[in-house]
Amino acid sequence: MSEHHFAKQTEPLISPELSSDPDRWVDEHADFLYRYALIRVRHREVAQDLVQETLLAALKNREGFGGRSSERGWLCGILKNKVCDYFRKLGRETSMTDLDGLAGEFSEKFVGGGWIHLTGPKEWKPESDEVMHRAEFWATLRRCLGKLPDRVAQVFVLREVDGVSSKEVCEITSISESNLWVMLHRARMGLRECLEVNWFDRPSGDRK
Amino acid sequence: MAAPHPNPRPASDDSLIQGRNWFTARFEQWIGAVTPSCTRVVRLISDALERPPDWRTRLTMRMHYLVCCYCRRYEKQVHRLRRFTISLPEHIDEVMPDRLDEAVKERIKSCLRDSQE
Repeated sequence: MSEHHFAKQTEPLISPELSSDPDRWVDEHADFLYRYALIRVRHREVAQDLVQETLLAALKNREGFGGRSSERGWLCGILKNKVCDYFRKLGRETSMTDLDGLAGEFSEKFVGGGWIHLTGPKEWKPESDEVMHRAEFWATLRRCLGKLPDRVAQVFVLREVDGVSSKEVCEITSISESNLWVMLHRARMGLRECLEVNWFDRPSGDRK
Repeated sequence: MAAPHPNPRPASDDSLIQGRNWFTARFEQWIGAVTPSCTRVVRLISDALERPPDWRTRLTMRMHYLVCCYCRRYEKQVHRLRRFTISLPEHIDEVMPDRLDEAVKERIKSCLRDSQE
């Protein structure tokens, strides 16, 4: 870390090995942190604010970074907590009205409680997971995630991408477990349908 | 001429039991009567990812799959979806073009400098 001795000589309170140039944090990690926040909170301004809050908190608590993990991992951990704080605040401020709008969303796929056979789930080819090596596939999944309503996508990402337990997701977002399960079900249904339409049911040259 | 079937099975329907003759038709009907509806089964499939269902629920789901290849496919695909989403963070940087505006970066830098003074 010797290159920072010169940059931060005006800060006698911070020992040289702890000093990291905040400008460099922004240059090296801000885009990564921004994307991390954006996929979770889905609003550009909120994501920008969270990145700023994260770096401010990091600056105040530089001793917390003992070099045990990578600098990026450490910042990411702080951001993760900031994202959860944001959801906690949001949970108290908004009511669960997203769900009502979703109730009948897929009703056109069913008749009398059963799948309409002609439009029901098709066999996905290929069966192997080679798609996971295709960048276009991840772009499709990301776009499909973007089509979900905000709250549904937020709890889905917390649960499935971050692997937070159901109980904790309920606590963070202030929703009941039964509401969470309905939301996760809607998310899975929406994503499955979207992936089928935009990827698996398309000729490989036409996938997007 | 008979009216068209209200919910015809396409050729790709590979449900194990289909009402092609009198016997299988009765069997299909019976399974349909004793297992939950498809709308219920897809919900059970999702809930099973949150908490493992009891054996009775598992049994009725399995029986339902005998007559409904759509719910069977749905279950398989939702499990695949879970595997996909777990791996999403590894790939997100490749497919997410979003960057912070330079102006925002400058704002954050000056904010960080201010806080140090």
